[in-house]
Amino acid sequence: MKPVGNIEKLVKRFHFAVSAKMDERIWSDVLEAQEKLVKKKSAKYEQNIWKRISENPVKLIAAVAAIIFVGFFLIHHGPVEQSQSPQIVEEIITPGEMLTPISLRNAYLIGGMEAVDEQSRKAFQMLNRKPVKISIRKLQIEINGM
Amino acid sequence: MRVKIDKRLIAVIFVFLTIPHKLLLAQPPQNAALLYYQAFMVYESPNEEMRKKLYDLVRHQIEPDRQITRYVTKQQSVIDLLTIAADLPNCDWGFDYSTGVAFYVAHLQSFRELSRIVIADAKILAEQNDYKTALKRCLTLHKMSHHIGDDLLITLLVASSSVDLANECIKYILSEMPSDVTTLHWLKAELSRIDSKPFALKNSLGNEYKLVVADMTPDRIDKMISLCLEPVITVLGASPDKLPTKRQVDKKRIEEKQNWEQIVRERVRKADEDFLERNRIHLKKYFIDKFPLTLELPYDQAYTKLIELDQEIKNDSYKDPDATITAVVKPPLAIVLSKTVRTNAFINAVRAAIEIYVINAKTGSLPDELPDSLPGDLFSSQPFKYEKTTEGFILRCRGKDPVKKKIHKYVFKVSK
Repeated sequence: MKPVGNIEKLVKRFHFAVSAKMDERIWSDVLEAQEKLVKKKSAKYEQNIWKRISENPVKLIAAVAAIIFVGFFLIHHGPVEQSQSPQIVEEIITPGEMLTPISLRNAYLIGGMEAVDEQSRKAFQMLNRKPVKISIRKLQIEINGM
Repeated sequence: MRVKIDKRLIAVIFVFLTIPHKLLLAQPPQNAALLYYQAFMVYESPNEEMRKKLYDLVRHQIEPDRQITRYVTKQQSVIDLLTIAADLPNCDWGFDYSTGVAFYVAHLQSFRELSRIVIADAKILAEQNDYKTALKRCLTLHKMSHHIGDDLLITLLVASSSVDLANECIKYILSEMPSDVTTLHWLKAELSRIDSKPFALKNSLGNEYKLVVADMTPDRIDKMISLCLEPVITVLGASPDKLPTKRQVDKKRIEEKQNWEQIVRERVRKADEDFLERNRIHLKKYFIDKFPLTLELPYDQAYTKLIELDQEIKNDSYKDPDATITAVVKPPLAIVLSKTVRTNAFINAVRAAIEIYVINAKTGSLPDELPDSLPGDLFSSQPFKYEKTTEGFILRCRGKDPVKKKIHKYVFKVSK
């Protein structure tokens, strides 16, 4: 099985709902922890960090492993901003599923009829089905190249 | 030469000549949905700016401008198509309930947009003092709403909202138009004909049950559960602060929901035919027996009982695996019931107001008391509270709307 498949299997076992909100929370925690860590370090230590790592083979291996892990994680989960983009949403739920009775009903419960409109509009945007405006002339050009 | 005339040919010619002329003319199809689907395909979808303008116009926040008038004028042939469709008695949208909950109701988006276009046209006509045609547009939307119907809870909610839109516009036109007894009598008769069958939840509930049962098979249950539990915030792809949220959700509730969803997913992952059968029995107990019986009660009792049933199912689902599916798919009946009662109360308020306008048109002044036997407030099952104002009159509900947490009032003006 491909590594991506293995990771998907592993994530499914965690039993938590993947959502934009969850991503945001995880990332904010990670960044906060990182920020605290950075503050504790002295300027001198920061300047010499790569020197210290390169001197110790164990540290070097650990650093390389950490970089690979972070890189792998970013490739498969994307940066924070992307977690809220429609492309990622499309992977979670298809535009068609956004137009099902239950999905629209859930939207109503959250934001009333405006949320139903918004969700339908987004689904159609993603489907890109209905042109805003099209003339007979344009259609003729599209169909016959006239 | 002798011509032999076939008796059968004579019979055919005789029948043809005696058929009423009307029957030989082209007739619209018997199913209104076919015309609606055509309208949905050919109307010009508004761009972002126009969409916003239409929103504001139907909420009476702006007046029709040249740009709106131009856009709506271009949709006249579609409005004509909708008018013909709305007048047809039958409307079958062709839903296939056997496909389960994952079937599409994509037509609702177009229906909502066209509802706003119809009301925008009504407002333009009212501005041109063509009040009767403007009212006809509102009635078209009333009829369309009955067609979009009570097949499902979401269609019922959309229908309810569209009727509210039409009623708001009727209220506006009645406040603007000069006294005209003939038009008022005509409007009263039309409204009582169209709204003779009020919106009801029972039909939707039965169909929602069919959809869920169709999905209660080992190969489909997982998909249905995922769809039902999918958070809307994720669906909309927006952060919560950007979402038009009417209900604030606290952190504790989110955690509680996540824990509960974990239990549900675990049970569904292991679901076998035995588990599904026991869940089907539980589902039937509520959808076919308890919910419909509760809906027979007067509104305030029904609302309280539905909230209790909702909590009862939720609590059961923690300890009883048989209640799992019912807990996931249970519809927000108390909220939908309140919405339909709100809409039906508004219909009653408009009908009661027409009677008051008729008295005003006949006598030249508003009555001091509310006449007897007018349609009443459905939140309290009592007559509306009537109050004369300097500009017209107000009809107030006596019962509180527990969802909106307010007492509704309907303000009508009288044109001088």
